[in-house]
Amino acid sequence: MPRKNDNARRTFLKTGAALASALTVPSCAPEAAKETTAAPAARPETLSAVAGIVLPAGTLGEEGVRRVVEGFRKWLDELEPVAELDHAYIATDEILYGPPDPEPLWTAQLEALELEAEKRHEASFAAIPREEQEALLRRQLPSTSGSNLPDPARAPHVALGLLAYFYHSSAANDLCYERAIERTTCRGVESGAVEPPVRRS
Amino acid sequence: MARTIESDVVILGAGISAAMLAEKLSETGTEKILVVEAGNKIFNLDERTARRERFLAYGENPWPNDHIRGQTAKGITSRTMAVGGLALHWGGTTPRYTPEDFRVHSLYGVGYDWPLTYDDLEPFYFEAEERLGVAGTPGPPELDPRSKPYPLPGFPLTYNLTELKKWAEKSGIPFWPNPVAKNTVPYRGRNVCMRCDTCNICPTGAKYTPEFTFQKLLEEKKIELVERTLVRKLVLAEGSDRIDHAVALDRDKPDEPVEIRGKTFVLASGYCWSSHLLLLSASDRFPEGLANLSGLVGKYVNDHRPVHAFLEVPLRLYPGMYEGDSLLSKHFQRAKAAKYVRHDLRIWESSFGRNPRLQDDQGAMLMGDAILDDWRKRSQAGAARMRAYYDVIPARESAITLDPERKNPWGDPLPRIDFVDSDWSKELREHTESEIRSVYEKIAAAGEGKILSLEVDDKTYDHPGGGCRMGADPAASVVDPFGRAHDHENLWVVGAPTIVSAGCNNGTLTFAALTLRTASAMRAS
Repeated sequence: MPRKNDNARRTFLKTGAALASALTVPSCAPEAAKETTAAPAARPETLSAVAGIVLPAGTLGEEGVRRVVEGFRKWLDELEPVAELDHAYIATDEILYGPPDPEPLWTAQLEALELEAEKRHEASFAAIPREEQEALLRRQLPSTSGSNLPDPARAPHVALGLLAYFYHSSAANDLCYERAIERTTCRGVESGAVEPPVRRS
Repeated sequence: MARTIESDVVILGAGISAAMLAEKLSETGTEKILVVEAGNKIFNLDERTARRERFLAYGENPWPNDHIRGQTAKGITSRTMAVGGLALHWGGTTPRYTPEDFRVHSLYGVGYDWPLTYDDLEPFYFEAEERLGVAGTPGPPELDPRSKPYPLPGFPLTYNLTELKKWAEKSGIPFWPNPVAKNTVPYRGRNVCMRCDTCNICPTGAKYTPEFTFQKLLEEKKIELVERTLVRKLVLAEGSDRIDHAVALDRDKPDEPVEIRGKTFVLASGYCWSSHLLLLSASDRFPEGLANLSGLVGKYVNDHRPVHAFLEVPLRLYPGMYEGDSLLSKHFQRAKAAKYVRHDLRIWESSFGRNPRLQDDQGAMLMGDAILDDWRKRSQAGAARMRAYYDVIPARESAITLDPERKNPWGDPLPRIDFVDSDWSKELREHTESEIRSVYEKIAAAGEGKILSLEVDDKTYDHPGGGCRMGADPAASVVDPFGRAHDHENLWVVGAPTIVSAGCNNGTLTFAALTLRTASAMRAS
């Protein structure tokens, strides 16, 4: 099955970010920024800052947020664009395929956060106060048509993709119920007959 | 010049019925058995852990290329066409029909009796349970009659289902674990279930899927299996009503026709494709299709209709412990009401209405810890999913026909399926659904819960069958009570196509049991 990394594509916001950094000026030099024609590029810090706003950072802690972001990057790197999707035992005669690679759109959205941060605050997104980050992010988020979390790969914005990635996880389920339910773990035939143990942080 | 393949018994299709038949025939005879499958052979046990991970992370099909491009039917609800058939994706659910399912006309004055009784089929139900490896805990004998214990011990109930059982039984309706073809102990060379909760791709092989049987039979050289070979037509012997050969197409060499010769032919291609092949095989002597002197090939397609409900329950539950497991009740399959109504009842754990959300009740967007806080608050009370299948009395007009507008890539007309309620079902429908709603209300009230959602699913056909229905009267059926075509001495049909009605629960075990009964009849003949 062809995946993005099979074609030696870049890792989301790692090498790409390094390349972009070389093309732009540091965020602490707004005057110089105005002189360049290159857009301020998203840095790994941009995604981390977004994660700090949308994820339950107060519960996860800094290290927990970092792990989620790392997992999200890996998940995105290994996503196969337009993959053949599962068709249930009984449901439809259609063969369904997944969405195209969301990475270009999401990268552009992170860059847009940087651009607006530069223009409004003359600072990088990660460097502006948290309330300003949240306000900026809320302005750029597309209006959602409902309260359901999207399929992560179809999320219309990287922040929603990150949210959906996290909240679809077994770890988030355990966090909600404060129990080690471990939804995706293979556990043995006898297991599950007792109330799941309290989750260890 | 066609390439010729010869065998004694030619089984067309490689799903669960074909697996049962091939295995049983191979144990009791020495004839050559050939299994012909249009789809791919996917023997992937060693890949399943990785496939499961991709399915969990991305929703990818764990059985890639389990279908044939361009080979589908209007109105069908699955595309799977591969060695293993639809059961590659199944959840392993294996309840039996109840004795009433075989005698609805005699008992209730609606629908059609089968040409056999539950007692006739009972030994074959058990044989099917043994071959599939069904684990179960019997229900009360008056509701769940059986002559022997299940071959494998039942699954211990999860915490969630233990709580839900106590809760639901406050209504006075008994529930017990749903039987499943999953190993609770090592069985027939397959592993024990690890409760991975991804039964559509069982990484351990504990859930029965037919490709295990084919793999074993191939290793033991008891059968020959030809994959990627689409049978397009059955041809009669000159001056005879016996099937002489099948005309097939090797999908890898479509320009080189294949002729499959055999002494006995068995259609094991499911309700849609078995009927379709007979219709495609029209000839001068059988202008409406083979086995169709009755005019009933493709007719009386049947199924049951689901009524779904989600309920809030005053219990602290933990969704995600083993969502595929469920409780079953046959209370309403066996009850005799003043007006005909019969249905099964199942309960699962659920997270309905308890998933994380992006907006609060006022429509304000949530972020950060607010999403988790909101989720936690809404998850304090548990939820249950319930479903009732009620039988839709089959209509003659409920039919598989050749679609005049659509052809497959090789120029053959494709089937179309039109489900129609019989007059009996039309008359009973409102009453039936009202009764099921009352059952849900009763259960909710007894347990101080409430119904969150109730929906009749009019579009999904979960366990369709028919199209080659069995019967003693050649004018009113396609095959005899053992599956032999009335019109062709060496043609048999097995499994789903032969059923008279779809009962009130999952049909797979019944399809397998009927097939094993056919195998005995074939051997006896």
